[in-house]
Amino acid sequence: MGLQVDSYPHAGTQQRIGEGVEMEFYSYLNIFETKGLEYLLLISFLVLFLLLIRYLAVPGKKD
Amino acid sequence: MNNTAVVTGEFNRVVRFAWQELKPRGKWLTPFNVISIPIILIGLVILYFRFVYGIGFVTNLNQYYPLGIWIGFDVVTGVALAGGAYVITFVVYVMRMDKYHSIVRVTVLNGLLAYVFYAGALTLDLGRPWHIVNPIIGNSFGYNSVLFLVSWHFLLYMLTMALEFSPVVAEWAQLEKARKFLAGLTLGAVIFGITLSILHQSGLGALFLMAKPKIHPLWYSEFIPIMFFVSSVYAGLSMIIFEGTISHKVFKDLLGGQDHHRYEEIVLGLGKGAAITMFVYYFFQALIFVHEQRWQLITDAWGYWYLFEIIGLVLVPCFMFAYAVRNRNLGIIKVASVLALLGIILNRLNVTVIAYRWYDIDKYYPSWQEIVVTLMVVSIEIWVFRWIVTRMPVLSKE
Repeated sequence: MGLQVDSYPHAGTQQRIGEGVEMEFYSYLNIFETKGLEYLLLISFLVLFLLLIRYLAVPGKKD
Repeated sequence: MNNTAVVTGEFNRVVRFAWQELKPRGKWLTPFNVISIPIILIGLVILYFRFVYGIGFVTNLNQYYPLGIWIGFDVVTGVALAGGAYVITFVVYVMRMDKYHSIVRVTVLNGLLAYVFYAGALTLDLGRPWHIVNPIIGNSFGYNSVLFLVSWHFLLYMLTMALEFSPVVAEWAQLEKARKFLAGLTLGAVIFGITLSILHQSGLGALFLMAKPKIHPLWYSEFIPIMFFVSSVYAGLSMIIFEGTISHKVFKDLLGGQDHHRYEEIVLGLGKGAAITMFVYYFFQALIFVHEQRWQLITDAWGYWYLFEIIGLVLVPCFMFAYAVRNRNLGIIKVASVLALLGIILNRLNVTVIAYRWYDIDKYYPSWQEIVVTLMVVSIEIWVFRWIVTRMPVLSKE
């Protein structure tokens, strides 16, 4: 499919600091490479889960 | 000598009683009988050819497609749908939520029959079925295999559920001392059963870890054992709602008025549990989706099929359950339970059959004989369930 599944993306370049690459080469703003999306998803899950529990805890009137 | 005579007399009484109970009751010409009897008879004929001429004679299975619907539906799906037994026994005996006590017996019976028939159907699918005892008797143990764990767990869990259900049998046979003794073992059996269930529900998923190159990447992940376990919880709850709805119509004469009232509260509680579990399952799926970077995989037909399963048959019924619980609408809960069950069936069939060797042009399709035998297994299970429910104190306890 052109996409390697089960790969672990690196949070930036694979070159190490001190090998002549400057710090700004790193891209901390890429939400995919930094796994930021996974963290956001997890946080939103926790918030939504609490809302769901609250929603289910107070039964409304019968339709 | 006197004790021997008492035991012999009691044994004879139980045998005479059981023989009387074996006689059929009620009308024979019911719609279910008219449909199921021909299916069972044709299925038995097919099984004769299967065991005489081999599995290839009646199925489309081959070396490339060793798993057909006998495994994909009967075993893998059937075991997931039987998950209600361990969930309800945990809720009642461990969490002490007595509200659900009235459905423990029927749920355990459902689970027991599901394991006996669906997991028992495994013997039909094995090329050499007499080898099924090998993991148990120590012949070529294969203890490094997940299948070793699953086979031992199936056996132990069937025995455990038989033990959990045994007080009902003792009560039916009017063996009061035996009933008290067996009832005393229930809590231990329940805890043992929950442990077994968690392991083998996930173990069934773990079986597919070795098939990574063969399963479409949208359905494969290293978390598949966890996904199988979590989904078995809401599969079991949905199955209880679905089965309970039918039982309340078919066996309404066996239920008192109070049971009908309690039933509404029970269904609402089960719907709440299903909504929460499906919500967790959906987010697990979303996390795996993002973690494994599946964005590019959902742009073709397989992607749409995956989205249909995850959104249409997980997220939508999840919201339906939540809305129905909030508004105390049993009708929507029943529809949501059917959608959730379809989602589970589709998920298990996707992993085992549909998305298995998805890249092949010459795909596996079940033969009509495989479908008839599957229907036969389901029909016989319903016959046995009906026989037990109409004779033993399953629905009408207390």
